[in-house]
Amino acid sequence: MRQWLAKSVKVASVVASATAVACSAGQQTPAPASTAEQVFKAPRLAGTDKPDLNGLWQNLTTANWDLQDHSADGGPVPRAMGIWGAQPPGQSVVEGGEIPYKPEALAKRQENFKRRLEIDHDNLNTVGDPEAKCYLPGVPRAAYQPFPFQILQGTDKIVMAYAFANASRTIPLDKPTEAPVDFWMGWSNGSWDGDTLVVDVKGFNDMTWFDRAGNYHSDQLHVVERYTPMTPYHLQYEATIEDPQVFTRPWKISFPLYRRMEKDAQLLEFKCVDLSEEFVYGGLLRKPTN
Amino acid sequence: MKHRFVAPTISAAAAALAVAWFAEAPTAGQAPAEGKAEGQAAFTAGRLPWGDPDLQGMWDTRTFTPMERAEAFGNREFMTEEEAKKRDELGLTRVQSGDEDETGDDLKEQDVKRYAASDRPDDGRPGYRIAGAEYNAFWSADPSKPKMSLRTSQVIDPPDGKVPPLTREALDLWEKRDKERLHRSQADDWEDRGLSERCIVRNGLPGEMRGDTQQPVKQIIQSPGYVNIVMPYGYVRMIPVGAAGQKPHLGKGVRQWNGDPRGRWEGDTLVVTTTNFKNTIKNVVPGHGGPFGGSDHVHYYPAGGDTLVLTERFTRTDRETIEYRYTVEDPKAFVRPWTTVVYWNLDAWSEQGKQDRLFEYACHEHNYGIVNAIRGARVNRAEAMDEAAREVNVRKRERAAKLEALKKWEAGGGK
Repeated sequence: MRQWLAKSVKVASVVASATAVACSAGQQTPAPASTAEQVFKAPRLAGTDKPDLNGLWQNLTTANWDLQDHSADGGPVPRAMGIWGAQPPGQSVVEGGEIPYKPEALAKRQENFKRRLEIDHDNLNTVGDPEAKCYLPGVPRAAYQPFPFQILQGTDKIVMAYAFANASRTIPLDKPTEAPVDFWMGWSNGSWDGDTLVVDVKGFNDMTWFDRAGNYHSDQLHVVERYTPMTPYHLQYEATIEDPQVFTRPWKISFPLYRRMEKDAQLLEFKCVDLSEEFVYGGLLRKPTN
Repeated sequence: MKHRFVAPTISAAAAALAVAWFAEAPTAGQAPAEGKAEGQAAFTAGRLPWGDPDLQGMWDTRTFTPMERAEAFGNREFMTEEEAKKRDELGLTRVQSGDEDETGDDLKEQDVKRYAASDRPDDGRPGYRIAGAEYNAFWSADPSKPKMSLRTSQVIDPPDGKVPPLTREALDLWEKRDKERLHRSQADDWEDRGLSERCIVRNGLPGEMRGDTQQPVKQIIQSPGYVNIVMPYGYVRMIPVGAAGQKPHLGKGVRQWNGDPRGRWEGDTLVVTTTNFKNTIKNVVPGHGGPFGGSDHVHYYPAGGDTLVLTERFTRTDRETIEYRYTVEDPKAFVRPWTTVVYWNLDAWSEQGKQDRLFEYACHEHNYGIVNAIRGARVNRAEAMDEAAREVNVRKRERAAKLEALKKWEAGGGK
């Protein structure tokens, strides 16, 4: 890994110096500062001609609290948590700012938010934010939860392993197949568009949410993700979200995913099931039996 | 490592015997996998583009070799083909874990019988009303035996083929835990249920490296610097190899349910050392779950996890086979290290192109089992309390009558 990083840095600096040469030669249209990024060519997966996306990646957005614009907030239980449970402010990662809900669907989103920390023991999967219960996060939420995930890219398959709930998904790159049943993490098929990894995800159930603000979808959800290497240290992530039951049109989110650069950084378990049990089941102990 | 594998020391005769894998009659159409017993290096694994040996595939990790050796075999590591056939006729080869009953019926057969008897009145067996033949069968892979090993036990060291005794410290811990359990119901809260029921771990490592009828397959997908085992229990074992595999283990302060693995290649063999296991004791109910396959051996791990060192060796012995062995060393739990061997086979269904990945293991997400267990325990308790109150009420009338008698006696001046 260190080797290919070194190589990539070299590539980047070669590009930079080439730009400098072009400028000093008095060419008419000096390249904009971002050119180095635009022409970045990802290193190849060893022994293949495919770009190498392997690594430990993490986003730095606050989209997990709310995909759309949101102000700082004390959070749902400041009395117990101080500002540990506060919501950091953030700008929308949604292209155009707003999620194009159908009017009737928007009401459901408000209702979700209002009841985001409720538990209904007869409807575990339909009330409350699944994240709070340590349920599988779904896609694209797994990409912007405040946890790292690892891309494990092999010859004909990619495994994405997420810290949160130890979630994972396997993405075959060779032969697309139809989802045989519904899944929390969907059914992924991958392909390459130049150096961009494109993952087409269908076969979702209707139980995951997009964020803690109650943004949601139905089982008609279709997500197309794009992972584009920009520099040795970051990928651009983009997801197009389509769900004719809930939204008036497809919409897009995008943000960078950064490579974790700490020496010896590794994906650690956040196997949260046992951490969630008091929250999920504790209410049963306080209810009268009849 | 102080403790050596038995493999290099087995006699030539035993090795020759191991060569002859046993394919039973119903599947005789399949060519038996030609013998690549341990120690043999006849097969060279293919190479991935970045040079690592190729272990990739969907692997059926079930075994029909019992964990511990039957007394009759003594110190014999392998049985003869004749003995294997006889055991098969007796149905003994079908006993692979606590999931099957003593008669050798597997779940599906048990269920078929129960279904056939279902026009009879409820026999009171748990699950009677919900279980038809299709119910259990649905959860179980085809119980047919694609391949049989002539091994007499999974445990190959100690030489008697038995898991070595637990230490006194481990037994004391076990007793202490059982005593604590005496003061609790089956579900005072979620911690009274087993780890697998709570969807935390299935059997823990290394027990869950062995497949069962419900989850037979594991998928190995390699990437540069990693061997990744997609486990059927909702996680990926990412085993760093090469430079990353040489890094020291995590600090003592980080403990994980699945530990912290480091891998290296010894020739074509992947050797994995895993440490930093989480302390699983406080969460595990005796009799349900446990790192070595649940009810057939150790009900829960009888130590703290911090002294457990698990060493695994994966060798592709031919295109269709991985020899998988692990050694458990934990001086707090076992009086000596011990080693097992099983064989993984490429999954036939996947080989036919019918499945390219494992399905996700959404378990906690639908876990009404815990809700119902807690509710049930509370209803039981409430009913017991009602009954106690009823009894007190009966005695209250008796007591009132006695009081009347006393008052009468007192009113009469104590005469």
